[in-house]
Amino acid sequence: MTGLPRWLRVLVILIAIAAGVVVLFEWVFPWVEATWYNPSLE
Amino acid sequence: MTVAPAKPAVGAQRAPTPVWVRATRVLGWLLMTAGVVVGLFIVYLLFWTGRETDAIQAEQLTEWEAQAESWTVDEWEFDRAAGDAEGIESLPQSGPVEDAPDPGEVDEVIVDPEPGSAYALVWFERDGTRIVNERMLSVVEGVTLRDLQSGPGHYPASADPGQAGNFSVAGHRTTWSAPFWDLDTLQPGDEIHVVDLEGRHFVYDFRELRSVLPSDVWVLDDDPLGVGGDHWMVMTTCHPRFSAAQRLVAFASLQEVPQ
Repeated sequence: MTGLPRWLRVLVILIAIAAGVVVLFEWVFPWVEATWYNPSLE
Repeated sequence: MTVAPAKPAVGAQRAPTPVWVRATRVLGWLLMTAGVVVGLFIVYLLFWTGRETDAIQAEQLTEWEAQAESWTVDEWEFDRAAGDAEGIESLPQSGPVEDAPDPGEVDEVIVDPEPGSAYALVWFERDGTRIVNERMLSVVEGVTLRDLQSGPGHYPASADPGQAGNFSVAGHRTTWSAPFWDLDTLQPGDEIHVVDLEGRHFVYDFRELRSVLPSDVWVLDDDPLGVGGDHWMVMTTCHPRFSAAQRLVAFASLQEVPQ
């Protein structure tokens, strides 16, 4: 990415962070929470 | 007067960064990333999950509003914006609404709700003042992880509201809008109001709180305290807050047993 303009590099990084947060909130965190669920007596 | 350090000459080669410095740098980035992920997870649990539950509860309160129109209770005015039901005091307690089946004759809910769908309305009062949760709670059918993301859930094998046996409800203490966050503030004599899908209104008297182990499923028995009586309501939630080590259980009995 060294050949890219600075603004484009910042944009790519921000998009990558946003995508990472979406993946965490939509899939990773619900999966982690489900592994904790104790169905015996909620 | 300070002297600025001399700049390296153009073309001079910098000394290579030692391996331990690079390793420490990578470790630092990994730890910072892990900290951010953990922080985001806390945000997810405490705030993000509540947004989803609030949206589902609002949707189900709309369903209750539509359902209430089919009931024959003139005074029912459902103020969805406030999550409240003005005029609820006019509903007959522990008895039939006009033209509705007598709970004594019909001992179970005729409408069989799908898992995760609206099952009953519940709210708490002390001397006419709302306690535990400012809003009415739409209880859904089922207690799976998915069901409880919609709100408090009715244990499917337990009794229906007003029915002989143990009407049991589970709810989150924290996360997913935390409907039972203040369940420990109940005091003997507090009223727990329940309206079922047919508009029948039951009032349970709160008896006592107990903290038990998650494996203590005896609290769901028909006579959980072994003191007699066969019209119980039990609410279970995690205890203490932010922990699943124990369960807080609120026991209540029907104020007026249908004849």
